[in-house]
Amino acid sequence: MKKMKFIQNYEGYGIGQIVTYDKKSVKKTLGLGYEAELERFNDVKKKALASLDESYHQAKDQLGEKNAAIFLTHKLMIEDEDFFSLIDKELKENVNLEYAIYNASEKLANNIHLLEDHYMRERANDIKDISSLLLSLLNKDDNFDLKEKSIIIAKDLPVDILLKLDRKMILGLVLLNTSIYSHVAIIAKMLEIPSLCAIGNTKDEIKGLGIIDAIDEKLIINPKQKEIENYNKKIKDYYEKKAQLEAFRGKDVSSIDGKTLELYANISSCLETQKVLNSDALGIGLFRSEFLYLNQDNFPTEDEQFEQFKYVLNLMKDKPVIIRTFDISSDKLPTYIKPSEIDDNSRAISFYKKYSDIFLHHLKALYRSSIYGNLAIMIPMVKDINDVKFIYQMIDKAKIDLKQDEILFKDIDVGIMVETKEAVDNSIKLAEMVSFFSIGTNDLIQNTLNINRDDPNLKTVLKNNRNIIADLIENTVKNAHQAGIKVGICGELAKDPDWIPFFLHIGVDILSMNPGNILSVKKIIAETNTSKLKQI
Amino acid sequence: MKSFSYKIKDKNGIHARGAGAIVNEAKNYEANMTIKLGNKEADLKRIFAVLTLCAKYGDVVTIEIDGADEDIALEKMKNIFKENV
Repeated sequence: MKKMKFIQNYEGYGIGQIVTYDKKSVKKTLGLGYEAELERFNDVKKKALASLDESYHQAKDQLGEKNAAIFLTHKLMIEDEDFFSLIDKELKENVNLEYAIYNASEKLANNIHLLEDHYMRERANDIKDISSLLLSLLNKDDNFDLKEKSIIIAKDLPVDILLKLDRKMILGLVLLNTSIYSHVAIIAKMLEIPSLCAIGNTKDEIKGLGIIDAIDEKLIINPKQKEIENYNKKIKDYYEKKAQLEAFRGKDVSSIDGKTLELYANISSCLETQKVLNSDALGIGLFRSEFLYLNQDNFPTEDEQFEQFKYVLNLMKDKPVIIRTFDISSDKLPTYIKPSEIDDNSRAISFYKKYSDIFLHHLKALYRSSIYGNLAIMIPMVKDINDVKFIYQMIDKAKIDLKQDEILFKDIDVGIMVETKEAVDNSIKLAEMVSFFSIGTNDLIQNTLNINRDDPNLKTVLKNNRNIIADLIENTVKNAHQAGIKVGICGELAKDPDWIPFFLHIGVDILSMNPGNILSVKKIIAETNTSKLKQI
Repeated sequence: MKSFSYKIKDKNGIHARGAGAIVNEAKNYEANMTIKLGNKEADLKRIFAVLTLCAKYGDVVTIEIDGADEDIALEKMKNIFKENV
């Protein structure tokens, strides 16, 4: 148990009795007779379909169609004729229904296991899930039910089972040998269960009192009294703070002297979209599209990109989504690009020029997805008006191609990231050419103060050179507003309480940050009075 | 009898969600529907059959529709494939 590595699935804490879930093996016995067992099957089938319907609607509201669709597939599997003929064959041999279901599922799962395709092999889990659901509906005694509030430690917990439990009885959840992207983990997030996913498994028997710490990613079995007291305090503080912040949810917030800011969220992958919807952000201010290019063997196709953008836009509905065109840099390099091909000088624009076909596909995917929501795009590391001219040339090319293929798209706002001193110096002209600015403070600080973002002295250096950065930001805002366009901040400074009063004071329009920080920033704004600050 | 061919665009091929959408729609029609890939074929109304066909990204599948409502089924099934795989 000590060697297990835990990953946060959903934040929170829980202290309580541990209950373990592991599928029990099914015993083969003499059945009640073919007709009787057949009737039991039809009966449990109806119950299972009703249960899956409920689960589908619950998941659809909270997670969107794509994630909820798994329950529809489970329904089709239960209704499937091939599934039924396997069960029917077993029942004719006079066995109990439980065994018939178990055996039929094993056969189907084995067929799928033999397939070469890795993705298909994972579908065997779906078959196991439906079999577990049917079996749990058949055996009320064997039913996995919580008699008291508990922390569940589970191996292969079926989604259908999790959704059927009384949510109030679940203090926490540890999913062994399960990925945070699996269906059951996604449902746990939806249900806001403090949960951890564990890499690997354990043969140890786990029971007794447990503490699940899904903030620092720990699981403590049979804690000492001191640890319990410690965590009781942590839990109290955490949930008190959470409740305090919850008061700001859905409210328009302004500073004491009446200044406001719009709060948006930053994401690095499609899977974080639900986090944004839960975060009280008005939209996505930065979608780092690089993730499409990393963890792959080759450049993603236009269609693959289109599907991902479409997914996010659909989920966000009419809320703004600003996607930054991919910014591959030397510290996040895909395997198929040699380090010699990229350095800080050949990021973004020069990279787009060198790989113009790739960039064209990227733009086409973005424009194709534009009809599915409220999309705007922004270009990273823009330095001068020639960069912008190049971008517009490429966009025109993309539009011509799409029109030729009769593919629909909308005209969308194109903004730029202001991340270098050069860009700030050119900001008057740049503001006349684009629809908005977004100040990338991480790169701005790095480039201007010549210090790497990972440098431990960064905080001190920034503090000592605060005015330099503040002036750059203030000039950018002034020039943007003079041209009638909006400015946002999307680096680490956006959530920094030392900088937010300044941003309010100079009239920044938007702050974009990690979704988890939105409510805290609202609180900061509400408690700020910019007219009372001597040194901003 | 009506038929159409389709080249799979989804990186995951005909995956669980896509198969679900296809089978769900196919079940709405009286017509018999078969999906063919090379020398393998499957009943489009049976989810396990469709899944084990293992149609991958880039594969070209042929769908044959035969029955009273084949005309309307053809249009609907073409759309379903386009939107899901």
